[in-house]
Amino acid sequence: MSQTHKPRRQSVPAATILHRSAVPLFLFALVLLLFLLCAYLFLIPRLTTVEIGGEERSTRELRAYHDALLIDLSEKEHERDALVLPMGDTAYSRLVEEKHAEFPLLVLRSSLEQTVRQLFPADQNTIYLESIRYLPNEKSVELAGDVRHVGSRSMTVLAQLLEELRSLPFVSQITNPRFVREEDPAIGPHSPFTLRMLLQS
Amino acid sequence: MENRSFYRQRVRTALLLTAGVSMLAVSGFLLSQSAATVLEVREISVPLVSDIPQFERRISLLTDQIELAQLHAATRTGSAEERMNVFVIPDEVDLDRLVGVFDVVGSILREQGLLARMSDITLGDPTPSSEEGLEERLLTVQLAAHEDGVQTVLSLIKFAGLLTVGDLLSSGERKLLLQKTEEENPTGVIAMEQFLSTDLLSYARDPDAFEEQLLRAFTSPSFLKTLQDMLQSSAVRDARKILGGNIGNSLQKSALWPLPLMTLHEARIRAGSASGWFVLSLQITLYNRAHVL
Repeated sequence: MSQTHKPRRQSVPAATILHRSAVPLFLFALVLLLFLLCAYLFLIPRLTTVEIGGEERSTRELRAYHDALLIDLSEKEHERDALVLPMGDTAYSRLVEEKHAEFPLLVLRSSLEQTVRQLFPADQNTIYLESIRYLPNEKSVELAGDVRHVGSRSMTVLAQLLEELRSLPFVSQITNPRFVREEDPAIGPHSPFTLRMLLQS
Repeated sequence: MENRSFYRQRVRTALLLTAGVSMLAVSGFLLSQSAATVLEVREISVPLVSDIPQFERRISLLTDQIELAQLHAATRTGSAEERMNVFVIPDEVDLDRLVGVFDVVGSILREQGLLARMSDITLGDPTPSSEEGLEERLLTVQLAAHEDGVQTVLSLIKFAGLLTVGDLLSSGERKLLLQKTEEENPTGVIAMEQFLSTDLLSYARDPDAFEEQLLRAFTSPSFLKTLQDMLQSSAVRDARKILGGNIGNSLQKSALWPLPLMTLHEARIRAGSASGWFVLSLQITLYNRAHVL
């Protein structure tokens, strides 16, 4: 009967492993370092520089050149504009720009009236617009009037009007009005309102 | 003796291992730097390289345009600044001219049946303006006018103080025109400069002549379309209609052009006594240069 012998595993001390691997590790690291150093100093710069404007430029130099060109471009544009439009950046030009930013009053008025008409197409007198006050410097509009001829629903109609006005594209904000119902001998129950709206800039 | 040799061997091993690990660490650092450089090239250099020739071309075009504009500026007589200082934002508000403007406009609108009533004009005291070096004062006036009359008055307030065609266009529109000039015909900058500096009243009275002069320098359909779109804006149309009509004629005859600079401070509009008629209350800001003590 044959007997099989399993080779006995000899345990090697860690110190011996380290001692034996020290030289190969050192040589490998040295060769790798030299190779990478050469690549970093000579190969990468050669591969990553670009010839622009007759000069070889690295990424950093390219970015600096790009920024310098942008500044130059902006200065030249400014200089050209100053020659072509001599009143460039003066109090006068700023005031003229303010004029351009104004909202056309009659367009504003007709937009608001159209909103009101769409709300009550059958009875054009339900919402009476007394006046429209436009303050261009504050970019705001004050709408004064009252809701009438709808009996006790006047405050509900006013709330509906508020919602409609809020949905207008050129209105950015509306302050909530005072919801009241008053009695008038001539027009009956009505809800006067003053709506202050901020316009989109 | 054996101990000393063993000790030396250990020191050598430790030194080799330390040096090896350190070099591996430096290699790792170099590797990451190289990778970062390659990535930088892909993400930064490539887009920059595509921008740079375009920038260089634009700078060269702008340099040519500047040289041309400088040459033209040297031959230009009478500056817009002088007219602005005398008429638009003067040292003192010229009441005669101011009242004259409202008289001319009022009488023409009355003749056309567009104005029922105009109130007295009241002028407030001067106060420092938010714009440095300027003073402002409020002018208050109320008028009962037809919708067309209201539109005319509001448009005239908008035109008040504008000197040139360039002033009638917004800064965005002017920028677009100059950009188109660069793209279509860089040497056309002189024609563009002449068009933009054309007196607004002269342009409104004969717009075709000035537009044709400009279009001689720019023939492409793209430029033509941009210009036409711009000249179809409500401000330009109103300028042609109002300043190109009786009002412009009277302002020129009465030597009231250019108008003093006015901006709208407050406008209140309410329905008038008849359909299509309104009562318009206006507070207008007038400007003059502040006196330096």
